[in-house]
Amino acid sequence: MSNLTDLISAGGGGGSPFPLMVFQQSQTWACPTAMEALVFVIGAGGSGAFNRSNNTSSRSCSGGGGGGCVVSKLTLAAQNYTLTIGAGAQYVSTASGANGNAGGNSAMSGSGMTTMTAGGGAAGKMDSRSTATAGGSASGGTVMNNVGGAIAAQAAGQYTTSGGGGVSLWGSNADGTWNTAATQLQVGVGGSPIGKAGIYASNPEYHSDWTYNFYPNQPVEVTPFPTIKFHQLSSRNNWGSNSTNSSGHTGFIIQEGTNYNALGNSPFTGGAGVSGGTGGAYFRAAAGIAGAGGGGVNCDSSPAGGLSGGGGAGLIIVCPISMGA
Amino acid sequence: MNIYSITDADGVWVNTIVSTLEFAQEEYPNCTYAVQESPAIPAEETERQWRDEELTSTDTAAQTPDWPNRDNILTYRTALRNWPSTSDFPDTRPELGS
Repeated sequence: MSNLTDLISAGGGGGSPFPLMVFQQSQTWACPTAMEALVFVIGAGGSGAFNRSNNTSSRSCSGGGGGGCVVSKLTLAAQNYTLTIGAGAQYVSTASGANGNAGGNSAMSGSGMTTMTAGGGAAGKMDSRSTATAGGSASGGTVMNNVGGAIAAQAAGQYTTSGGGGVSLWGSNADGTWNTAATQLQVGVGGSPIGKAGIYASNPEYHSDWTYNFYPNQPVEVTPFPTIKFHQLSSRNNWGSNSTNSSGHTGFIIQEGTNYNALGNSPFTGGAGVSGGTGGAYFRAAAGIAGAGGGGVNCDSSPAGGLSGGGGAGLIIVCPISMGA
Repeated sequence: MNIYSITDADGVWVNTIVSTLEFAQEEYPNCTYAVQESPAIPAEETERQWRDEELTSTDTAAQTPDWPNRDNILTYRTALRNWPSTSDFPDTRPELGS
C-alpha cells in the first residue's frame, strides 16, 4: 500500500475480499486469527447547541464537533484486544438555550500495538463568539491521525447557526460551516469528509423520496465503506410529504406544517443546523451519524421549541488485508 | 449494553461509552458509572407528534368529498394546525366534533 488509492482498495473502499468488521459496542475482542488489517477508530460526535432566545439577545449556536479518526495498518495476532466505543452526545432542548454535549472517546489497545485513541467531538456552543468548537483529538495511528471536524468561532447573529463537524476520514477537511444570513429558515452545513460532491448515499430509495418524504430508518450507505449500512434513528415513523426549502447540499429544511426539520446529512457528515424565528414553529437540527457532530439550532424569536442535533456514535472498523499466518 | 457516563473520584468527566458495566469498571477503575438515560422528550415534542399523526390519519377524509363527518374533520384539522400557536398548546388537545 503506497497511496490513498491503495488504502481504499485494501479495505476502506470495500475492495478487500474479506468482510469488514464493525464494532459499535465496547468489548474485549478476541481476534480469531492473525491478520494484516487497516483499522479505523472513530470518536463520537458532539451535539449541537440550542438557542430559544425569544429576541432577548442575538447569539450564535454551533453544531457539535466531529469525532477524531485514527487509522493504523496493523498486524493483528490471535489474541484479545480492548475496543472502547464512545457514545454519541445527547441532543439539547431547553426553554431558553444551552450548549450541547461532548461525544465520547473511542480507543483500541492490545499487546504489540500502540493504543489508538480517537477523541469525541466537543459540545456545540451557544453564543460562541470568541472560541471555536473543537473536533475530537486523534493519536496513536500509524497511517493517519485526523482531528475531527471543528466549527470556527463566529460572532453572534440573529439566525447564526452551524452544522456539526464531520469525521475527517482522509484529512483535516470536515469542518462544519456557519449560516450567517440574517434571515430565518437557513441551514448551517455540516462538515463533510470527502467534499460536497459524492457524499450522499447511493441508496436509490433514499434519494427518490428525499424531496417529498423522509423515512428516518431507511438504511444509508456511503462511498468509503459501501458494505456498511447506517441508520438515522428517529422517534418519528414518517415526516410526511410537504414542500421543501433547499438551502444547501447537506442541508434541507423540510417543512411540515409549522415543523421545520433540518435533514440531509450522510454518515461521517455533520448534521445540518437550522435557524428560525417563526412563532409557533418547531425546529429540529439534523443528528450526526457515525461519529459526526449534530447541528445547532438558533431560534431568535418566539418558536414553540425544538431539538438540536445529537452526535453520532463512535465506531471501530477493521478492514482485513490478509488473513492467516 | 448501556451508555455509561464515567466520572473520576473528583467528579470530573472521563468518558461516555457504549458498554457493559463490567467493561466500564475494568477499563475505568475507581470511577463512578452512571447509566445515561435518554433525555426526557419535551411535552411540546410528543404533542406535536400526536398532532402530526392526527393530521396524517385524516388526510384521506379531508380529500374525499362524501366522507362521513367531513365538515367536522376539516374543522378539526384546522384546529390541529393552529394548536401550537395557541395558549392551549401543549396541555389541551383539540377534539373532533361529531
